[in-house]
Amino acid sequence: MPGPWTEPPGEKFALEDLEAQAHWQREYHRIVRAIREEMGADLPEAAEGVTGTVGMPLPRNDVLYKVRGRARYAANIKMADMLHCRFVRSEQAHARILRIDTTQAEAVPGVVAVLKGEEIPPDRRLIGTLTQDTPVLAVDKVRFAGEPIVAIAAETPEAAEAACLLVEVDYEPLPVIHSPEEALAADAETIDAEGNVIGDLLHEIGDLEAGLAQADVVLENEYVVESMDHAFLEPPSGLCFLDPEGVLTVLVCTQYPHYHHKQVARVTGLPLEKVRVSQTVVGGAFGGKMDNAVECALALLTLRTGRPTTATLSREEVFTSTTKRHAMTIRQKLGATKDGKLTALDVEVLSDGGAYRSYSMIVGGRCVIHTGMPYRIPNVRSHYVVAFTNYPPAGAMRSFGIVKMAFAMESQMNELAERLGLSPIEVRRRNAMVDDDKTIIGQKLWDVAYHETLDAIEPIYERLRREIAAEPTRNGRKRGIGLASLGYGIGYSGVRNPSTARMYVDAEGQVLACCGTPDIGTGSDMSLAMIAAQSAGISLHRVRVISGDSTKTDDSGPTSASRTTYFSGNAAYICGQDFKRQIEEAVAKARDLPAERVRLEDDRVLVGNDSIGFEEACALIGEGTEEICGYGKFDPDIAMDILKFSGNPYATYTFGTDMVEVEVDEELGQIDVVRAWTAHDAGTVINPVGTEGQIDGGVVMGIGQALWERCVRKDGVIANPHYRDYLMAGAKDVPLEIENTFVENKDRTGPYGAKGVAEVSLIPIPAAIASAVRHASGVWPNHLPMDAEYLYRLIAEARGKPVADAAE
Amino acid sequence: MTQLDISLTVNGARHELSVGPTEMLTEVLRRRLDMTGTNRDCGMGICGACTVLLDGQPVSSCILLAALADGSEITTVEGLERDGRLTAVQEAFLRHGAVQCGYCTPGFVITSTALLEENPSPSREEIVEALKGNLCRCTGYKKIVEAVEAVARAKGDGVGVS
Amino acid sequence: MDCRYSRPESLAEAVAVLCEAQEATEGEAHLVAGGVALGILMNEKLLAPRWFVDVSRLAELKGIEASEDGGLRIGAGCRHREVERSPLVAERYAILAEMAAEIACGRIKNRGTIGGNICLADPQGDPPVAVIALRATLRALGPKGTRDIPATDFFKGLYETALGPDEILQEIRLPPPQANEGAAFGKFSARRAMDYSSTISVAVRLTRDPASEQILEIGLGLGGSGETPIWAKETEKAFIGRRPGDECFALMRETLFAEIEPLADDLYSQDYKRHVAAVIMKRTVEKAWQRSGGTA
Repeated sequence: MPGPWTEPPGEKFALEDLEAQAHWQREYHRIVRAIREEMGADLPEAAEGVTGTVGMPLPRNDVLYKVRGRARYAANIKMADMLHCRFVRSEQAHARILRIDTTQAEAVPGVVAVLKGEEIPPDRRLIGTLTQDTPVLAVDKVRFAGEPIVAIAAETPEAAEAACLLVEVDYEPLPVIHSPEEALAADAETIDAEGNVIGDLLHEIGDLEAGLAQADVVLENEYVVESMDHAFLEPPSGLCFLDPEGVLTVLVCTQYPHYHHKQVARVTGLPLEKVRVSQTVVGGAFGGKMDNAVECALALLTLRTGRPTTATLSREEVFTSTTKRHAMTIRQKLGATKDGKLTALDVEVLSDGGAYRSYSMIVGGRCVIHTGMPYRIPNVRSHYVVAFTNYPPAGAMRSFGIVKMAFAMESQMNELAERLGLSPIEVRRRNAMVDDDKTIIGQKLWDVAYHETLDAIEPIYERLRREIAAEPTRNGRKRGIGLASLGYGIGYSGVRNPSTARMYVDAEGQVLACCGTPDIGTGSDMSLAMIAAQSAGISLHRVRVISGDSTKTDDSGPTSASRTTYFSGNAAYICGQDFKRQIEEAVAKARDLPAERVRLEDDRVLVGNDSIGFEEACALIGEGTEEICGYGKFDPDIAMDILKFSGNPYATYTFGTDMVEVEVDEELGQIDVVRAWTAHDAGTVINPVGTEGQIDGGVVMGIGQALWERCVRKDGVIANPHYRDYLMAGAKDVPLEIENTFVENKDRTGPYGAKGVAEVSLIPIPAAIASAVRHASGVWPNHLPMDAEYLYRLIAEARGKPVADAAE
Repeated sequence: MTQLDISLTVNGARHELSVGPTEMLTEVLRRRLDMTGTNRDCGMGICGACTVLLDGQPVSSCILLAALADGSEITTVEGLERDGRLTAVQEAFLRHGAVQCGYCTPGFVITSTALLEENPSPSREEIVEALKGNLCRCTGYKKIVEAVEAVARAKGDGVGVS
Repeated sequence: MDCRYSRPESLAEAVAVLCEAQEATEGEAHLVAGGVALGILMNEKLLAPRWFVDVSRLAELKGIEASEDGGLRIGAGCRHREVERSPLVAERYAILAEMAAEIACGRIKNRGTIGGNICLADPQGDPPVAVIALRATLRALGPKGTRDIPATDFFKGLYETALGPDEILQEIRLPPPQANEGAAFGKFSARRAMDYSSTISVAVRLTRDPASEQILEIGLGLGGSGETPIWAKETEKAFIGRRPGDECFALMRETLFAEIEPLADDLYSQDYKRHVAAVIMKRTVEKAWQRSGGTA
């Protein structure tokens, strides 16, 4: 098996030789030093790097390849003798497969292999994260249009495509289930052998009826959220080959290489050590690169042909076959006393799980656990039902459902504030969670800085209220502001999910940090390098991170649920400490000194009264460096009884408040978000550039979900499988004024006090926009997206005008 | 199959190629010339990931018949750097956090480079107008616009660009 | 299927090649100018061309210049970007620059041509709407010689024009601007860039009678309001002899609702699109009126 040093560290990032990489890394560290100097440091000319970088706004070294067009995305890797794979996909949303005829396809010149599901042994046909229910290739039934049926490998992509068109599939159509409501009907056609219900989760605390009876105000509303796509720009892509040792190697853009490692081994029947899955540079994921897309089919085709095989999905395939955000209907009843104290919350969710289970249960569990957050509510009932439909599977997506729960909860809080004549900040303050409060499943919180996020937003809110009162319209459009909050648990829900890290060094002083969770484009490798370097006491420029490779790193879970900085960051921190100790011991041994007389700090080793550079120290250790392996494992005590919904599901929680200013063109129903403000409790910010980037990106994704984005489902197909009609925001559609505040807080359990932030800023945005629209135009939107026609009709109805000639 | 002989100058190097009449420029760059910096995504000229300069002007290479580019000068993202140094635009993207997953980046870098070539001190509105057709899913655009503004400012201060 | 590629050296030769190509391919030959829509349709597998006739380099299709009657001649092969930035256009037909600025984004404007867009006759196309409002004449060359087609009579149906399969649009000829003229272009789109579908666009060119402060004549073109770019003939009549204002717009709305039939799509219903067309028309007429020197 290849050890950590067998391939150059930059191999994952760059499509250029080592010499070029070394040059560009030097360029990179020249820039880092320049930044440090601009920040006021007086750096010795001789030194190459900088130490103590946690908290510095640093650029990322992988970007060096990205801005130059040398990034190693899977689709950019070429191998000699490589075959191209394409898929035949179901045209039917729900049907029995009667016959698959591949005769003509096989005859297409250039076609090398045609793979059908029935050729996979029955016990290896199904894959899936939690439940193995998803066929690699459909065999006797298809459950959604876009489901793969046949995989074809050919000498050219054109030949594979031509062959796909010649595969004949005969179907016997079955009734199509379009919604969870239809799925739950008594006489509904069953999609899955176990019925149409994927999950039915219920949790209650206190006495709901008594809580409602205590309330002076009870708000009851229904919120509808349509399905959306991750719309990462890089379509899923991978390449599979047999390495010289016969290890089946899959290079793929994924959030979770170790999962694919196990799945590929299962599907192929190979032992784990005969399979390697290594992550390529990932062009965005957002939860959409958790499940199998090309991995298993490529593995089977490579084994069949003995040749490297590659596949990249088309944009249309991405829209029609990869997982989606769950469409949900949320009914909420919220009770409060007249002084704004919440007394009861009743939540009823009906969620559309699509054709297979994917992460549906994780999303459901998270929604139940987060019910009512970030507020103290004594009496809560949360009921979540997710059912199958004949649309692409719904899976993980940034916030695992919480953005929708927040749309309902936060909209209710804003309505409550209005009803009681309180400011939305004040009503939140009166219920805000603080240290030692418990979530509805009984987890006690610590290092909560939610109040501080409200404090940070309040002056801006008050100022904007005054501004808008003085000038309620701008360019003929109504102005409004709105805010909303969140509380969010970091990492897997209720399942132990340890992260590990290992650090190696060579005699020249180059350090490798092998971390399990992969960088999916967020810059997490950079943050981990900063943490590992600082913890070890060495300069950043020495450390290269390798992540997301099944043979070089442990399974440390996926990069998802905002967990990498916190979990792998902790592992990197612990690992750095261990590494430092080992270096100190090795130097002590070489100099024949007691270990306590040797200290590694600030990239120098203090040896007795002497001080030597880190490189000199490594030279001194010499071959002994091969023995050095720092190790860190972070495995917080997470445990939850999933049946009773009790326990400690998350290692830490993060909190925040977002505010937006909108302008509404009431005649057309169009909303413009013109400014945004965020205040987050991210704990310590490891790298402000990266953290702000996550916040800005989350805000804009939230705006997209709020205003435009939806997978249009019609007659069993996704009717808008392209960017033409799936409307993602461009630079002209979003505010460029996004002001971010990170409230001062340190999580006692986080690396240098850090929490996670990748998903959080998105969560409050739709509710904040809805509230701003209320402020501007007097209506409460309760549907996502709030597209122009929806809002126009809402305003027209509110003013009692028929739609066709309203808005005069 | 009919083949056409065309000549393309890509990043200063001339290539004589025989292409099919229906072949798009993205494919020629990626498959024939092994220049994979130009990314492929929507295939409809919408996302901008495949943007290259055709005689100095940004175009969508995914919908451009290679035959139409015959005799033209093409600049791809790989062709920007000089003597082992990043251009001002590239360095600004790096420093300002304008890049996350990076898949849209070549398109943004190319488009921004063309904008600044034509208009060395664009206003924020002009920058947004120039970049409005490039999609980015990660950054929210703010830092991209700030990066271009930073280059424009540096130019205004008389600092060299590339 | 095999595809041929010709690059004729003159417009006359192009017509001859086109005739031959159409006959050889039973109408599956395509002119290539900017190649934008063509590339998209090919990638979407909606088009499998068998013979390309490349007219992108023909000098006869280039150039924007004043014509002898005081109007303007725009070569059909001019790119949107050239139209947007032409000083001649800016000076005398600013509405065209305004229209061109709204097309997709820079990358598309750098390739797409005004003539190509007109010939595509996409119901959402912007140039068709402008040439209708401006009462342009579209000059085509075919095997039987030159033919002038009024823009108002050019768009026949879904992606269908008055051009014969063997004719090539050569130039767009605009009549000279009148005294007290004002023109404007307005567009609705869900997003501010790259919207190809569900857009609704309105082009207005009007002249104001300074004596009565009423609209003397008006040209109205609408995009996204039916199967093809629309000449809103009846709505034009509703404006003539009136002064833009609430009463006038109410009448316009009624007439317009009867005159257009926008296609419902995945984003918006027909009712809503009608409403949007009326709102955009009102706003655009107001803008044109102000530009003609009229007061609000």
